[in-house]
Amino acid sequence: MSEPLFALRGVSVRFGGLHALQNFSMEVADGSIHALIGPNGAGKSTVFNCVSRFYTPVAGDIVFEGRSLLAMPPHGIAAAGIARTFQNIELCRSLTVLENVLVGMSPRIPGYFPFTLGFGRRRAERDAVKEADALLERTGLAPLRDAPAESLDFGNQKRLDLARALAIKPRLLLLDEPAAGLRNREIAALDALLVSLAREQRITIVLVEHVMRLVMAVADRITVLNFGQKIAEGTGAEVRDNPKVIEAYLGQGHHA
Amino acid sequence: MYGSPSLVRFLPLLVLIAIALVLPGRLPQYYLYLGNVIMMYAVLAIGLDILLGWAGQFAFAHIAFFGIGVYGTALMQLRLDLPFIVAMPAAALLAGLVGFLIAIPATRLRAVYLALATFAFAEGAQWVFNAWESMTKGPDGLRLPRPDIFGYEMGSDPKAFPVMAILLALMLAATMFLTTSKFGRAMCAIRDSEHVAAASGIDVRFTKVIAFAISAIYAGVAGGMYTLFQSFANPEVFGFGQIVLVLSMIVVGGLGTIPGVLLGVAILGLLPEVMRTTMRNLLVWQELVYGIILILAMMFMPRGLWGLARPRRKQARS
Repeated sequence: MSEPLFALRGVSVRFGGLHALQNFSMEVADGSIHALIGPNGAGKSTVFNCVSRFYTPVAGDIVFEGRSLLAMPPHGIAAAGIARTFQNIELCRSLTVLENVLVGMSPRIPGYFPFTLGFGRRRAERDAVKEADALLERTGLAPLRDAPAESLDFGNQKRLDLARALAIKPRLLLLDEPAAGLRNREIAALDALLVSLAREQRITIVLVEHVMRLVMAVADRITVLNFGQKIAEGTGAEVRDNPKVIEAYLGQGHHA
Repeated sequence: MYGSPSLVRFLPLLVLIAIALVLPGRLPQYYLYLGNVIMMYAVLAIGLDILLGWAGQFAFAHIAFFGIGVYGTALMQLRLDLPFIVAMPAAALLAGLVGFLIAIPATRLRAVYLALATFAFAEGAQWVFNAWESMTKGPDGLRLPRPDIFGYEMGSDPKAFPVMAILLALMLAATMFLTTSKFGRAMCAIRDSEHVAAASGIDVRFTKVIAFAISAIYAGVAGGMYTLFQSFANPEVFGFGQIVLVLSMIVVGGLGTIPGVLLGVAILGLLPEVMRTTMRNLLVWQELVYGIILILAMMFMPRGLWGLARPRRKQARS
């Protein structure tokens, strides 16, 4: 494998006495869909929260395009080209759908200084709104453009979470259980969407997911976590037949 | 919408100034005094709303910055012989600078811890106003100089009225630019979810610190406005009761909405006057009444009067 786009190297995270991640390493190839699976509490979301710089590992390094993310502030991660969604959908609830997408575009809209006058700011905002509208059109949220995010139903909130992440124009997209709570029909659509993002738009995807049907359908490679440690890695077929994985999911004694 | 406020939105400000130029000869002095009080509270409340309603930070140091505005404006005129038009902006910037410095440690705190720390700062500032007698004359109070603006001597309600209106209009215009800017959206994002904000590339701490400093500047300007029509200040003016009053104004009117805050300021600004004339005996209960109003408003109309008056933004059809 050539130099990976994104890699965790020997990352350890501790909360008090609990080892949320222990010496965890994983390499994600450019343009691939890489699934990260494991039982509840295995440390999957902890990986994402380290990448977002919400947690700082006690050991190890996280590298993206050859640069260490640990040297960056939390708001630098999006600018570097990494977007994420949240397991328990997080949105700017009182802002409209459009405004949520504009929040996602923050690093790319010029004119941060609050009292900047003149046409520059107006043009920048107008261009941003145009781009946001195009994204809403693509994600099917256009009819809800001016509705407050909190008024959306569950499925549309998930869609908005994803639209906000895509607004960053990421090279790497971290999806935290995108299929959770979705109906079968919606999962099929998600399947197609992920494949098109990876193959057509060349967005590398790390997917945390419990819906195995989706994982097996789209993932190029799967990493399995349990109790903060990597217990298996490989293609879908390799992982599925791994006795350690079966044990982690179904409990000891099952395959004895 | 974002970008810049459209020119139409500035029309009410011009109307405000025009009215303020006409009224002083035509209204009894008492009404002009009430108008001045309300315009001062409007700037104070909008400043607090930027931090509380927009950025979502429950900070209560605001009244201390108001004090810095009052004493700063007065003392720079008395001690340094600066004219009002230099002293007031300088005092406002000083308030902003102190706000900036306070914000650096304070923004590490959240929710109730931030509220407690900033409340402690406000109490500490009041103690300084009391103790620094060589400057503030302490509890005896400071006789404020009569500001002189290009030869027009202030210090009376009719003279101050148009200047107050111009200052209010300027601060409202600034607020329109602020709230329609990318920075305004960043504040809202932080209020709603710091995680989303940070993951979207918004520098959460920097935005909070700047919001804090801007909010303090508004309080400093309100302090300068106080010296335009009042002749006396003592540390009592910067007590806990004031912050409860300003907080009640923005909660009753509607957090995070400019018209709502102005509505709340008008209602609660006039309330003590109404009480004074209609139920004199109840006046001692004034702060209790504010407290009750605040609690009822938070329970029954979390979006304030403005939120009640205006139907919810277009609902989702799903």
